Amino acid sequence: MPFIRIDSVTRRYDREVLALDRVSLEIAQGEWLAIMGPSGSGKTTLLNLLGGLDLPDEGRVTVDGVDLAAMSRPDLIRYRRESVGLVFQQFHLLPYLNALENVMLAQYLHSMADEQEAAQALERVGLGHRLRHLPSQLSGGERQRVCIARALINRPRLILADEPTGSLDAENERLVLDLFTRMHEAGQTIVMVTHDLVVGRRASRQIQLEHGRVAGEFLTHQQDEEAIDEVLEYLWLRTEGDPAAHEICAIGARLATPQLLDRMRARGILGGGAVLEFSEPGRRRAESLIRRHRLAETLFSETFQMHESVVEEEACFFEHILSPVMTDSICGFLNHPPACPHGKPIPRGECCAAKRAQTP
Amino acid sequence: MASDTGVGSRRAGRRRFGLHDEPGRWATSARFLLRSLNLRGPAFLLALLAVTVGATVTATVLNLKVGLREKMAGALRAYGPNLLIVPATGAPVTGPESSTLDEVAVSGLRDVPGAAGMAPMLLAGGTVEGRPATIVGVDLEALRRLYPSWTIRQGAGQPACLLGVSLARRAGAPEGRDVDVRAGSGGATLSVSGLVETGEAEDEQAFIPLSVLQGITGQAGRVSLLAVSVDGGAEAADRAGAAITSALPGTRARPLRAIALAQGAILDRLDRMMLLLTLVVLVLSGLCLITTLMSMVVERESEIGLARAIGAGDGEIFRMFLGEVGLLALLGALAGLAAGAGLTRLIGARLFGAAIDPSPAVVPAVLIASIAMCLVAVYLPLRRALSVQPAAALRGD
Repeated sequence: MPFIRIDSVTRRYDREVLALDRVSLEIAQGEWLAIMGPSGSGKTTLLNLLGGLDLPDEGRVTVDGVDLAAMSRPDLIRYRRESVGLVFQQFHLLPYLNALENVMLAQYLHSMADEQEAAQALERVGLGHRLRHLPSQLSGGERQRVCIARALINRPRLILADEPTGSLDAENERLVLDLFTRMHEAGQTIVMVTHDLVVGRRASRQIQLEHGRVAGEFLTHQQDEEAIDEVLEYLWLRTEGDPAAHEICAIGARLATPQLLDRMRARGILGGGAVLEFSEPGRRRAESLIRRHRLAETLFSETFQMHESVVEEEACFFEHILSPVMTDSICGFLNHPPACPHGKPIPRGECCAAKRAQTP
Repeated sequence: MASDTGVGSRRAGRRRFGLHDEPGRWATSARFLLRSLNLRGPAFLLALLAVTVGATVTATVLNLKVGLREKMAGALRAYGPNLLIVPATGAPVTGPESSTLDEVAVSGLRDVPGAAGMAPMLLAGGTVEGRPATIVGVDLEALRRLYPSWTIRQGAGQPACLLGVSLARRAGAPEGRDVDVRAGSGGATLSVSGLVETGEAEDEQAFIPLSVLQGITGQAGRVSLLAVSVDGGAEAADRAGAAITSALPGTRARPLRAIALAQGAILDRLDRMMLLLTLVVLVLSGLCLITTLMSMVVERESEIGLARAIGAGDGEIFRMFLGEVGLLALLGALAGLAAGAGLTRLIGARLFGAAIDPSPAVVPAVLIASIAMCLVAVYLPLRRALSVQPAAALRGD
């Protein structure tokens, strides 16, 4: 039996707005599920139903075999208090309580406040030096870590996170996602709402909601190849010495997490040392990727005369789907250009070598 | 890993203790409450001001009520006795023993509730300088206490007497002159130490020492009636009369309704007016308090939503607000008692020309009034707070 079963759940607001339309889903114990989708797709509504903050108009949400809609009001409050930990995009810390007291509030509502235990929880999220600081004296990342410590303090069976990195910069996003990764590795069940593909890829499974319905479902390892390509592209730009590599390949930079880099090392795409460097197969894969990308850019820009604003987006798409034959054909069609429209070198392919051999 | 993230360090589903089981919860509640006041200082002070105004008026009115009742009773006491104790057989007239009272028994009365003064009197028909008059034998010192507004001078040597102004005019006996007073078979020469003018029957009476009248009428040790001045209006006079008649068998009480009722009516009207004033001020303060508390709830909806989301039940929300209004009531009552004491003294001195001291008896009443006002005022804001839906509040709807 799955830990959570969502069975044909429908939720309407004001009897007209259909937030969720017969959504069915199962979540296993210890799973990290990312609920993705555009704004208004029903992500937060689904999270609220799981947290017992809202009830469905139709269907059932069952957690550990218990139908939340069938619970009495006191039982539902008890469920929220004891079984659920909430992490919010806007943190929702009480402004007049310091970091320690915000964590103690959750303890107080659960059973009894224990200052020492709350302090230890904050130390575990790296905030041992910020115990007595008010939320207004903390950075966004620190506030989110207080929020995570508060969510974890009562050892809930389920962590529900609503855009937990939505208000954070890249560095704090990494810190917070690392905390979620550690929770997941410890066996914590996590359901996280996000519209960010990179954040979603950290989960073990993703579902895509659109217009209140499940439009797709992916296991993260299926997407690893795409993520690896993004990281390879980023690393290639770095080896070219491009100082703007972070901006040009922002997704790759964010995806280069220790976990993914470890998987790339394990697969022989990267060298095994502490320094990030391609293995030979990795270098060839990166070279091929860059070649496809830059050839696509050149084709769209010079031959199709497409506007610069869409060239990059289309090239990012085509770099993943161009076959070797098609790539060589484009290269030949463009007469084996040495550089892309931005002046960056296009790695040479076999067709280029053949062309040079034919040239007298 | 569990220890790294906090998972595993706390047992889920631990039994929740009742408040009475766990003093630590009170300390934590107080800590959160005081922290929240840091943020909401101005709004809290406004609410405190409303409670303080209500408590001040309540304390002032109650202090004045207690103080003025005493002052008013003293003022009305000047009009004379409001209760007569007479023989049960009939009207207080001169005559045999059955129609008079034993002076020793009457003088031995003690612990009469509300009695501010008592005077045994013997009445006799007689003449003053040959003119017919009602002769009243009474202890002139007791008469002084019974009629505080009368000025009675005791001449040296001759026993003194008081004459009603009409009688003095008819007898040609001005103040200071010796007059011949006759009653029954005897008579005595007394110095007129003062004149009495009330516009009532006293204007035709002569007040002479009780022992003198007893001597000249041969009624030693007998009195016609006991005149009593009782504080507190008609009901108090009835109570005092019942106490005396039960202590003195063969007597009956005759309250003098005009004085007793007037005293009671004035005090009752004063009480009603002050009660009305207090209610008006309490209602106005309560409305101000409701508005302030309601705005505090609206301000805190996301906070309440968060508390709901992380497991606060109705009890926690209820206690959160009850703690705040309890503190408001306590601080407001204390401030109101202090301000009310000052205001009572000021009003007493400026309006009534008498120092009125605050009474400790009003403290519980002011506390109860403040708590009641806060509890009534918090009802609507609390209902709103309890109806906050966590999901909507966290969305900011």
